[in-house]
Amino acid sequence: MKRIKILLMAKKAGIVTEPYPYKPVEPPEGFRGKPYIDPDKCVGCGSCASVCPPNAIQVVDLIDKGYRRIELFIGRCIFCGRCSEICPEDAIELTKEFELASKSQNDMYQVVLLKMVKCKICGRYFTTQRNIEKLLKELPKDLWDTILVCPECKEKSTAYTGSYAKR
Amino acid sequence: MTVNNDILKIFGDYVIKAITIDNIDYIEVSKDKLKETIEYLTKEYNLHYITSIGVDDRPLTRTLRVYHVFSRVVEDKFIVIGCSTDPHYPHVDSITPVVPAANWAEREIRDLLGIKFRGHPNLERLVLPDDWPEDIHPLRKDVPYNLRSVVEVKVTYPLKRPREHTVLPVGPYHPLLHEPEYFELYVDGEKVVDVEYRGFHVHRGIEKLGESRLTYNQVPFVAERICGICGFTHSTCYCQAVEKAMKIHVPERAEYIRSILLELERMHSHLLWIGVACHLLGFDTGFMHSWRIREHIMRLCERLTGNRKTYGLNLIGGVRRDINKDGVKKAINVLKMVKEELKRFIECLLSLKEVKARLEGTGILPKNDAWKLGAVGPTLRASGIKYDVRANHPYAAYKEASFSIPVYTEGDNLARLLIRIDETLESISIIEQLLDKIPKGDILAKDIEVHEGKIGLSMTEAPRGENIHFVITGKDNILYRWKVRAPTYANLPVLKVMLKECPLSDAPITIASIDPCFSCTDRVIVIDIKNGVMRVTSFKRLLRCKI
Amino acid sequence: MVELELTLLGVIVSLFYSLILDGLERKIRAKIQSRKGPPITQTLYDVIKLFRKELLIPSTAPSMFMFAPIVSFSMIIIAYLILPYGFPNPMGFYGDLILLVYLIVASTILLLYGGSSSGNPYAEIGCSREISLLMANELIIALVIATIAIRYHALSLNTVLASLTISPSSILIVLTLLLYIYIESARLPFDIGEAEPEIASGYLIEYSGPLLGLTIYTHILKRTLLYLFTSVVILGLVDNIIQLSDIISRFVTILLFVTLLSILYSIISNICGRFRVRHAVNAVRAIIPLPVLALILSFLGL
Repeated sequence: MKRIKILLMAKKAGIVTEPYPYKPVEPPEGFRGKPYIDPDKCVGCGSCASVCPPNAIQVVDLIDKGYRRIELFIGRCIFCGRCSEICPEDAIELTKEFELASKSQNDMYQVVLLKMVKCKICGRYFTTQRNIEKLLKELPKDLWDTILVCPECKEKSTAYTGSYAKR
Repeated sequence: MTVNNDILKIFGDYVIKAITIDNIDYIEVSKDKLKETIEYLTKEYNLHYITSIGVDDRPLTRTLRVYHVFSRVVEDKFIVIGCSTDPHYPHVDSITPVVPAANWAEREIRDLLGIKFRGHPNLERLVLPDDWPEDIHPLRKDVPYNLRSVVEVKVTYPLKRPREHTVLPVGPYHPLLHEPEYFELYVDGEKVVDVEYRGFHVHRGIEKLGESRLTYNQVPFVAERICGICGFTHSTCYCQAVEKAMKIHVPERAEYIRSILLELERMHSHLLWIGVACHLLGFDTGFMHSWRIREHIMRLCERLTGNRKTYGLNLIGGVRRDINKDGVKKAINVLKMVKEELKRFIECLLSLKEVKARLEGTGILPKNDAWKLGAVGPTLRASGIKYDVRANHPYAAYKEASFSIPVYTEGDNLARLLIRIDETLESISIIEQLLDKIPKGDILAKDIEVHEGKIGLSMTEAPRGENIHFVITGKDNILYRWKVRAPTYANLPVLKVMLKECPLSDAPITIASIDPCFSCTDRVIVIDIKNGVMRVTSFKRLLRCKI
Repeated sequence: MVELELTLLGVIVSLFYSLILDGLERKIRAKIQSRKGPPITQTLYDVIKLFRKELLIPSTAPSMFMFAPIVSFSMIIIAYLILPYGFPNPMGFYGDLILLVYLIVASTILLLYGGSSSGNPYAEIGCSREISLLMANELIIALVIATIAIRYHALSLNTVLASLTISPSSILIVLTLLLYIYIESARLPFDIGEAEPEIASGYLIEYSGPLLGLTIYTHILKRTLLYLFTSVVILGLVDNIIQLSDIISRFVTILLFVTLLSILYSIISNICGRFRVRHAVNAVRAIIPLPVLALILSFLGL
């Protein structure tokens, strides 16, 4: 009878149950798991925060303390990987971790604190120290004194020199 | 003679605008002539009704607008007919008497935008709960997307059916449904006499979200999560709509990758459905085996895209990730294995006499009803009408593959099962053809220019039917209007015809045979049979009962 | 008498063995479905867990709702006490064959009545479906008892064990019994009374906690009881051939037959879909010629 074929099909397929969680499971290459920000590479540009669809990454400037705080909240993350694509320093990467359940909320947050520098002219904190170090490596020496100036002061100074240049 | 010229000739003075962009004819008429125009068009040309869209245009033109979208069956063209109305007196003629399939779309526009349709047979609440106040319309621009604490209205209304029939509530929680839906079956012994449907239990306000705080490139990720099974179709459809609006050219390799993943999604969705159908017929062994076969495809998708279901691949202008040579080789092997196992499994399934006897001749949907009420997808093709978006309005890389469209004429549950099996085997052939021919090149368009105020319309064939996304682009990198119509929305009204005079043991498989994939939300309905009155329990009362 | 103690031991062993048998059936089902399945003692854990849960009774249910599972359970326990476990049961008496069938049928009907009295429309539909199947089924067992009574002049189980011989009518009786207990134990093509996806567990829908545990345990015990009865008949038939004299080995033989039947039925039920009510009743009616033929042959002395 044709029904016996079902038994033959079952025998051929065997038992497909995986013994997880008693044996660990290795996800395949390219699996999108929990993102991790490397604190040594991050420059604090904030591109990841602006591109993240559920706003899981928040960048806040703690002006009274002089630090830029980048906070990644796994609870809102959708594991899309846009942050990893956009990061100019390859500081944020999607690991293969997927066992993220935890009893404490602190495990859901990753915080990176970056020291900020003050503007030469107005004295406000405007960018991170690591960003300055990166610019020092990339810009030629004669432009170095324009680096420690915040964007608003830079605008005012170039407008001044620009209006002189017209004459 | 084109449609535009035809309309201009007959309704000349009342036509405000009649232009053609790509393959879409846009016609704007004055609202008094809307019903006549549509009546003429549906009689003259064999048009397939798709959806109706309401737009709050008050910031730009100080009007509220209604668009009705139709598609032509014989050629790859769409027709959009619209009219505008005064926001202080928003009344438009309903087209439901002429096009019965527009019933639900007009009720939704009335709920969410406040436009009233004259002549509609029953303009009741569809999307919003029954105790929502009358004057708050969520899709209007002045209502914020994170509105909370709405004052509830107490409401009672008489029972629709006399008391001699037993009322059998199927849902919102029932073992046969995957999601909360509410079907009220009125039974007489073992026969179903009538059915009432109440849905929209998990309405998440995605359209409003897309207009408020998401940029163009963030919306595909939300669109992917509209559906738990066919999400990639939604994100592709949205990207295609925006690409058409902004005239972005998508690289060929990206189109091939999109098509391959769309077909993989179709396969895993149909295999899931076959398993669920077996479970409802009592054949649990079939359920386990068909999901075991499906698991191979899920693992292949995980290998190719990084996730089993939410691939996260689509961006405006192409895809983010590429398929490398290893992936292609693995895909070909997996597909061969799945084809063999599936054929063996189906042979076993169809050899069971008791399973076949329950599928044959039950839940019949006649051809006329299917067309008139606007059924889509396999439900439509099982009733004898050959209409598939991949062939009638080709998109992505479907022009490059040759495939046949299975059509059955009986319209019963067995036909709907066989169609899905045939489609799965066709998908395997399409993927093999595309993997063979895939060209090298870029996967994402560069230098994308963003324009404001452009209209884009795109249709794709999801596993359950046609998906349509309509976008109007806005400023500051945010959409102005985004309308999504999922296929099950069009298939649910058809259930009323299928469930009439159906024995109760066939009701579950009939409900499941349209493959409902529709998330909805509910309150508790208390039916007071003695007094013949239905009351809705308010949210506060539910909180007090600690539910 | 050592037989009394052994009978009571047999009852207690069967009460536990029925749970293990159900676990074995689930394991076989899992293997056919290509998965690992629960451990064999899972049904025992389930029943114990249910007894520790909260009991919720709908306010529209009469007191019968609560008493029906308890009375039904006790009926099955009494039926266990009168079975011979491979050797004559000292508690048996003349006419206890009829009592056995009465207890099996009454416990089923009582459970259906209790379930449907809760007022839930799903329970009423499940009850009406199961009753229509039962009515066709009980005719078969009545004919079987009549055949045994006429051919072997046996109306007590002990006599059945002692005096059965291989003859055309007794072979037909065994075949009929094998089919009857398959249908009576509500297995897959015929489990229309408690079809889960269609009518949300039929007449079991309103039971919860200890009452549900008791109901499920009653079902499992009833199945094992039916298997035991059939094994007794088969042992009675083949007694002349195998000729075991040791009481313990006879008891073990009965348990072996029960296990084999259970495995066979489990395999068959997992390769079938569910019947519609009409088809199920027709299928039962198609079996009726067998016991009728057996009855006629028994009149003729064959």
